[in-house]
Amino acid sequence: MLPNEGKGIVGLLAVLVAFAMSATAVSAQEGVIIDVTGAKRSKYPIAIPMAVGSDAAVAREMQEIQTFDLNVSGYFKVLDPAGFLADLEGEKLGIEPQKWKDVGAYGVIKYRVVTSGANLELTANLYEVSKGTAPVLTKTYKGTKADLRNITHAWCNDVVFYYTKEQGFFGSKIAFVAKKKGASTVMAVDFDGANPYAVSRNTSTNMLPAWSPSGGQIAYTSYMRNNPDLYIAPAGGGRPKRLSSHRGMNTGASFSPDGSKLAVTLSKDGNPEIYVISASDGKILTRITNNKAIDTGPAWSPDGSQIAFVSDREGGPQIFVVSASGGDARRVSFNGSYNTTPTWSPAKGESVIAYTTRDGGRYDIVTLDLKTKKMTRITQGEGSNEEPSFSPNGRAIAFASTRSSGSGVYIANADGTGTATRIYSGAVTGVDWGPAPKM
Amino acid sequence: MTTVTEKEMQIYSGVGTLFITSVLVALVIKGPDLSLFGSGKKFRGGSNVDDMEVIDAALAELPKKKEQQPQKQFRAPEPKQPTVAPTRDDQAKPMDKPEDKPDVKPTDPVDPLAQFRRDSNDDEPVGKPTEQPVGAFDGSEFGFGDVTKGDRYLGQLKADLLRAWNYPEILSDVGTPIGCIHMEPDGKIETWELREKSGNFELDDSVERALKKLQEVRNAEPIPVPPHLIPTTRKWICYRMKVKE
Repeated sequence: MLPNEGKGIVGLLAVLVAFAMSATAVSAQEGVIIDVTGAKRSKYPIAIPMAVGSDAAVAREMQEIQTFDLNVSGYFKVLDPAGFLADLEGEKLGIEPQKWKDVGAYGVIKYRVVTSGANLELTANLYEVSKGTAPVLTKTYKGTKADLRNITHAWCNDVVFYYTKEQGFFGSKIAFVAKKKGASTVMAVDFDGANPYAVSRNTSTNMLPAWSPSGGQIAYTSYMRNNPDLYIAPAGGGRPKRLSSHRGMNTGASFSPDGSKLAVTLSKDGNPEIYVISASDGKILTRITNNKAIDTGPAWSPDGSQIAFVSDREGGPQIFVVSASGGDARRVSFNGSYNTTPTWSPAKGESVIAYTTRDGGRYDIVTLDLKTKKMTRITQGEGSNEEPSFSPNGRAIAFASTRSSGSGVYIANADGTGTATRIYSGAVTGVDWGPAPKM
Repeated sequence: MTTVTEKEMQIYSGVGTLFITSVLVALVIKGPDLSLFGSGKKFRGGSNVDDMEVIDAALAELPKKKEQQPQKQFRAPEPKQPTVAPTRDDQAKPMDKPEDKPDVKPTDPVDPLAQFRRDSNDDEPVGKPTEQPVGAFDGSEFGFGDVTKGDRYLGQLKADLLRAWNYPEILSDVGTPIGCIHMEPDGKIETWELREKSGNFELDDSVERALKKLQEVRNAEPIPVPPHLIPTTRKWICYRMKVKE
């Protein structure tokens, strides 16, 4: 017979065995558990039902503006109101969460707009259906009927800010050159295509507009005095001031982030080189490039430390990056034999450029992450697409296109998803997206 | 037990090495066919196959003279066209504006890179053009890592689930819901459930939608469960869903 300690040990062993057996019996029922990582990041489904108790025409216009803005932001998918199940008259500015969960909405916007005379007042609530019947954001805006679009854009910026803590770009403008009747005119238009107007007021050739960081001025090159000179005009249009008039080219201006300087291409020394000049009096401050190759198309980085440009020093045109104080340039584009018009994404913490690339006889827009070297195609197989420019938060790209659905200025998601939207029709070039509006 | 002194060991090992080396040398000098153990056949002609040593086939013949590979024609690059630089002459006329081209390409009149613009690609095509339609890369493709790592069937199932799972980018990625499926041996998903909520409504909802989509996809075209996994299908297959690393 076993000694006492032996009995204890046997007993313990029996307990352990029983436990192990029961554990496997339980897991045999449960089955296997597998780790899965990596959801596809998608758009947030949001519902924007038509307002009740409102001026119908104004409410409709506001619904269209909100739908356009939130879709184009790249963050949201605005659901089709045709499928809504809720009792809108009964809900008024509130929601019955289950009715919205049933149509797959995660967010709902309820708004009411009341007009009296020339004035209007917008009340808007944002709901997250998972958080119940209390709005997560509620705002009121007052103004004249003329402010309708700006007020709606302001509300949409507030919605985007609630979710992302990022400044929205609704209400920003895009500058470009429209070619009509033998003249090229610098124009500006709301980012959604509303209210286009002429910035240059001469019948000559004008090109390559560039917004100042404050949004108060637009620089552009004009032949109005028979030489491609650089001018600065108020953003609303009007009498421009001539800033740089060296012999040959004074083109392709790009403002420094603090607005005090411009990077430009000057060919006064025989071939195009990049210089930094003062934005107030055009005085040359620094020469950035100095070689026999063509160096042109400068673009100042958002943090002010670097300038991207195009050079053919290694054969065909390729993109290079150099310190904003000059020095050795490094090549960053290695795909194909023709890459031009670099521009930087203003997205915080990123080091991304977009540029035009020639591929199989056509021109397309690509973005390149300078840190990860990841390239993303923005356009493909639809005409020629050139001269990209990022939205102020880096989430969208505007560009000139000659696709079969119609030439014009288009905007697309900067991550390459979705389809592009045309916001201005016609033969265009020189696209530059202005800064976010100051609210 | 007899002991061998160290000195004796050295002598024995030396002798042994010498013996083995001499045998090997003899083999090499006299030729591989030579049988040291007395078949007496000569090397030249009529050798017994069984007595031949197996050698690398490459040694059987003298190497032929190497064929010349066809050389690539090397053409010097064409000389670069000199660019027309703007003159310093005050009296010089300004550069002419180009005519509007019939095909409207957005070109600046003073674009110094215009010389590089061409209607067709620079490179001459080599080889036969591809006949396979090249699919558009839309970011939804998956590599094969998940499929070939570990069990192939389970890997494909996991890949299908990932393909079905969407979660809004602007929402928080905190939380790890657990979703489970119960499979039939014929490959259909009989039922699914959200076993453990994360507390994040939209995240849990996205997992439920993913499981539902997985069921739709798998039930439309069921892939039978391989025999070694049949016992697994009697249990639940659960997934711990993390939005990102």
